[in-house]
Amino acid sequence: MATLFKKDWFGLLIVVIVSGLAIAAVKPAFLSHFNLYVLMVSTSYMLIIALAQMIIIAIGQMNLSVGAIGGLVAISFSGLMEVHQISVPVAVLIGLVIGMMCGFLNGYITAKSGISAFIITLATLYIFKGINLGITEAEPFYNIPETVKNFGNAKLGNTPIPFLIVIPIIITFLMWVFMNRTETGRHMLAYGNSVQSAELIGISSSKVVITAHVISGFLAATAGILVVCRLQLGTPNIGDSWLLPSFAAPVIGGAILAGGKVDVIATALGVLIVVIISQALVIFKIDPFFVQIFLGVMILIAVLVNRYREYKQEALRKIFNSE
Amino acid sequence: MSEFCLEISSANKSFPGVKALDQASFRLRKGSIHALLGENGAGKSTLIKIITGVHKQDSGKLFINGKEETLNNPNDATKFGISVVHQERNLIRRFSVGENLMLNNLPKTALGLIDYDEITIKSKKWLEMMDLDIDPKTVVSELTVAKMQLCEIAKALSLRAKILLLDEPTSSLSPQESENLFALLKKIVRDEGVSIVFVSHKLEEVFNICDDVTVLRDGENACTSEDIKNLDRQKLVRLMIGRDEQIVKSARKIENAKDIILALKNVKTELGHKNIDLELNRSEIIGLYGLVGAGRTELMKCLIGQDKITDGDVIVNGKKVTINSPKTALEKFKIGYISEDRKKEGLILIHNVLDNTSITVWSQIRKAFGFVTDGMIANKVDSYIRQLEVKTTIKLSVNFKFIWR
Repeated sequence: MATLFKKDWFGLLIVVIVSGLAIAAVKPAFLSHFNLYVLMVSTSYMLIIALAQMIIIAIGQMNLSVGAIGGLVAISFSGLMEVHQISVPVAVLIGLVIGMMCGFLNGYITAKSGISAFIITLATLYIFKGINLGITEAEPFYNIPETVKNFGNAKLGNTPIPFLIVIPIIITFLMWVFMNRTETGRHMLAYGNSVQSAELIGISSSKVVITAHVISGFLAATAGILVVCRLQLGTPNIGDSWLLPSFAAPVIGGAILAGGKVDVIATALGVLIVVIISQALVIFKIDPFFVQIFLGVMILIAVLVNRYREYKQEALRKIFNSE
Repeated sequence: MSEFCLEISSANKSFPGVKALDQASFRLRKGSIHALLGENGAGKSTLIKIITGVHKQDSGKLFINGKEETLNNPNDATKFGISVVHQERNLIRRFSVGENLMLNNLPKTALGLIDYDEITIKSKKWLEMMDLDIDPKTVVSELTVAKMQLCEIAKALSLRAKILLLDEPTSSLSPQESENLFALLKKIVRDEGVSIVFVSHKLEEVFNICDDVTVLRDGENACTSEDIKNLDRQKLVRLMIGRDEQIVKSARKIENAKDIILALKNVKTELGHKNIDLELNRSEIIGLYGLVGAGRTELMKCLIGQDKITDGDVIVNGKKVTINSPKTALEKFKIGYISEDRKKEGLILIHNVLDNTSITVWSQIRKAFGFVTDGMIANKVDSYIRQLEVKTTIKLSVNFKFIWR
């Protein structure tokens, strides 16, 4: 039990359960089939967006272009199917490749120039968004094939569980394995902990940085495609509002923006907290325009809690760590 | 096979504005402990970086086991069995000891995933070989500095290092811990056939464990791979500083005359200091002694108000005071702090010498509306820059550029 309390995700799990029960106690509608369905749908793509940012946070960088990549892939995916009559699986594949290429561009320039990813991805954000607007001229693609629409609407049997959430759950599991059980994943965390140490050990920084960005691009692309399935159309503004939540979930999950510390399970729970609270605001009929305030406050609280814990654990021990 | 496992001949290396190494040579005998000495800035770290593949020499040759080789990156060096042990920077603090030891070569299961049980078993072997009683599952940040250091050495050995570079390994160790380290070094030289390059400022240690000595001075060899038996302490110091050692006679020993200008009484700080007492007389130099991590720097930072003093008295010129910021310390109580970490804390590197030397006194020299010119600054700091022989290309007192501060 004591070791459970030390884990990042344990406290969050309690927050999720308690807040869920508390909201349900006041508003039983919170646990209605429809509401649970909506909750899980938002969770599904939020989860992938959060992981797309998390892997970049792991190496101590930021990816401001997650939304722009997702948006570009979303319109490419829907445009290929509508305008060029390309079959769904091929369109998915091309979409994912575009996302990975965008990520590769981010990673390659960051690694080779040594310029901070913040600036590079700020620039590529506008490039990707610009391509998006250039192609669409701000017009959505409406003619999405029925198979895609059906996939977006499907539920697992008679349950409120959307079929859409299966992919994010598989991806979350794979990401957990990647960050905790593969050499590349561990090298990323080592690099995020200390670039200098990682290089002295012989970890190739460009390999780590480029791989992380390619995975981030892949995940952003996946999220973009899922949103198209959900919305049943490909609008050019997909991804515009991803940035803040993409940071919120990992940070609530205890990630340190300086790098080297991320937790996949805690990030997933962070997503749940963001989604539950956003949903609660809807149920309590709070003006949606105010939702961002809550998101901001939540990030602030999470950062302060992280800071306090780091301060307790690290700062004091670092100085007087004699036995 | 060559008698030397590592040889560097006439290496040159320049950085913008500095010649770091000038025809430097170095020969490491197999199975020896070789001291690499020199003052700060003599070129030791540049030489180490060349040996470990971090930098590449501009000219000059590098031989490993008698064969000329090129090291393009740290990975190349690792392949040739060269490992460097830094003071503690080389470990990933949030990873376990075992994972750190195996990070270059993580054992994997049939599925290609990391096998943490195997990590524990393998790393335990190396820890036991060094008589280290550490659970491989311990997170590194929970270890003492001394144990981190020993883990670094274990890591180097686990990489099958045949040439081990130790960069001031004892600066954070207690005398007992240092003794243990030396016993271990002698053991691995004897049992594992490892050769060691030992960088240290403590000459007693050098005479205690080293076989050969190379001294660098201003990037040049003051001596190359000299047998330590041919040297004594005085000769070594002369090689290092280029002249005889002068023990400066303290100008005036203050005996009973008490003119205490700064005193700490029973001070407790938020960083964990307890019951600290200290008395400083006028015109007195006080040495603050302790190992790395003992809290010396931290005490001074609390004194100047960067971190908090939570209990006890600080007395300046006989009056009990509270110093709550470095600004107050400097401007109100005239307590200046010069950091050991010049690059991070001492200087603003992208600003010029004039700005850096004067930044603390702008408030004294500024005219109306906070107007400060380079000329005004130069008047103030010129003589100090000259006295301290700061090598700068700025022509002082000629530059009349007007800049708002």
